[in-house]
Amino acid sequence: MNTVVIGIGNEYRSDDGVGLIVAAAINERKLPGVCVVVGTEDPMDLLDAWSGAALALVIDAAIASPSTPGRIHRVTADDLASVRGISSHSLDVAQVFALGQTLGRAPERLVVFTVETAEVGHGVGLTPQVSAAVPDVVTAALAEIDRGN
Amino acid sequence: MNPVTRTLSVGALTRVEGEGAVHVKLRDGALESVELNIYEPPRFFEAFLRGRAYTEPPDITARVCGICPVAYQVSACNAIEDACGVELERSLVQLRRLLYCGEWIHSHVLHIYLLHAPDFLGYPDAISMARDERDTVERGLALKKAANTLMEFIGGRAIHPINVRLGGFYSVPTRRELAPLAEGLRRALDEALNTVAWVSEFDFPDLEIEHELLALMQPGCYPIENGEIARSAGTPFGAAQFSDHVVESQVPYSTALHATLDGDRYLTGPLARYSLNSSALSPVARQAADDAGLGAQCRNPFRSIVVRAVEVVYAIEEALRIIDDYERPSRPFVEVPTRAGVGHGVSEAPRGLLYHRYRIEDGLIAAATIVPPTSQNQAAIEADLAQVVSENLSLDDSELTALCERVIRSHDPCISCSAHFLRLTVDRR
Repeated sequence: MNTVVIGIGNEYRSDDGVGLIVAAAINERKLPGVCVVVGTEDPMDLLDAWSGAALALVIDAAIASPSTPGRIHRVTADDLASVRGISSHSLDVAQVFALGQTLGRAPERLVVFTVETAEVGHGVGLTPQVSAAVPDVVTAALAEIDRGN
Repeated sequence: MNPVTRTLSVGALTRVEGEGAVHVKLRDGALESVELNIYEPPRFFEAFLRGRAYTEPPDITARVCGICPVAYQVSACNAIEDACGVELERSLVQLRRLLYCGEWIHSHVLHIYLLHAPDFLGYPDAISMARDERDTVERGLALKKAANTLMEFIGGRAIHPINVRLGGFYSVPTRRELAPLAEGLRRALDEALNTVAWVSEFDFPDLEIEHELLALMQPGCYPIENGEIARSAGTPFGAAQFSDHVVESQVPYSTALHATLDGDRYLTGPLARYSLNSSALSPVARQAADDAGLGAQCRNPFRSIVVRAVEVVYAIEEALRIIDDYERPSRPFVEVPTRAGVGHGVSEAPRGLLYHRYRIEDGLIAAATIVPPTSQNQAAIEADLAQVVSENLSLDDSELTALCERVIRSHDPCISCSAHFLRLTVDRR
């Protein structure tokens, strides 16, 4: 496995499902050497999900205030190092990455894509603005995979 | 002697669940006050439960905490089933206990390995500790994974399980389906025993607490999913009498309520649970406790890491016992028809006794009260800080601050549950 694509979110909470939808779109392409993982709950699950991968792409929804729904952010492991922890209950992604590096269980390269949301209330399906961003995130993710090869 | 003023601040109290602060004031070398300041905004769970269907609290209150959702689900179920006059058959109760074992293992292992052990080994965090103790941290992660697997299997997912409902579960496994789970737990039991041996070698500062202890007691076993309320200096009472004895009051510096037991501070959680129930441990857990040097009681909060490790052994053994005895319940749940009235529910969350009370009218929640362990323990934690500061006044500010942080971490406060923890200041004048 060269690349693991990890989609994070809840498909029953509208735009929060964007990471899962992007992951599913990449999965449909059946790219060689690319593994798609969804259903991680605890950030610590990332250790297992990305163990042995050269590149890990994590895709998640972002709540921003004020929000520009559909706006895409690209964050690397270096950027994460300066992010103050946001989880008071477990390690956050940056800490899990640091722990993974210490244990020899981190990908060589980590890129996190987030998409700003319009709605994360109950309901299935993305809002039009976030839905419109999906092809762009897929393209950006595929470009990362190409870069790695 | 001229008064000396020294102020010390720590920007972030780390390795606790949630956010808040501690303020220690010293005047002319003597302790003046200690305040545990939980400033997380109130979360209004009790208010927004009002008017919801009587079937909803198990799912809604699970969201109070990402570490102990099963505790909230079980205390809520116990309370509502009590209000509706329903008793579950033993096989369903055992399955509930099995799920709860997963939560104990998960929560305790997280605290032992990622939050608490670095204090004893001189590391700022688990990531630094992992550089030198890689195999040890991997052992903790393996244990955590075993717990997650158990919770996913019985609860539908590891965090905020979805398979729990009033009267039991939405679906229950067959005996055959449980078998692979036992395989993983048997390996975990060895890791858990190694964990006890590891933490028992740590150096523990001296501290002997004198608070009254409060924990559940269950006939013939260590208390987890229900029980009578036992105490170290008084007769036991039932969940329905909880509010006759435990009174909550507001303090101006904290968004969590303070609780007293018959007017005095008290402690719930692993130390209380162990001290009131150590004779009910399973043989392997009892032996592990003996080997680790724990007596029949443990009143040193710093040694709570050993008690937690012993409880992990117990929870794994207990999970294996339940799986071994398991007969698939004849139905996944019993009906819980609504009935007007008040119900009380208790269970032993990893951090201690969790009490829920609901008043049901016309199938809706008319009133809800939730008393989580950390708010019950606030006064005891403050008293421990006061004692430690008073006994260690010769330490310089940074050493004293570090010791205060260790005291707090020993209690594994879940500030998100009680409302939330972060800054620590020592003000010496």
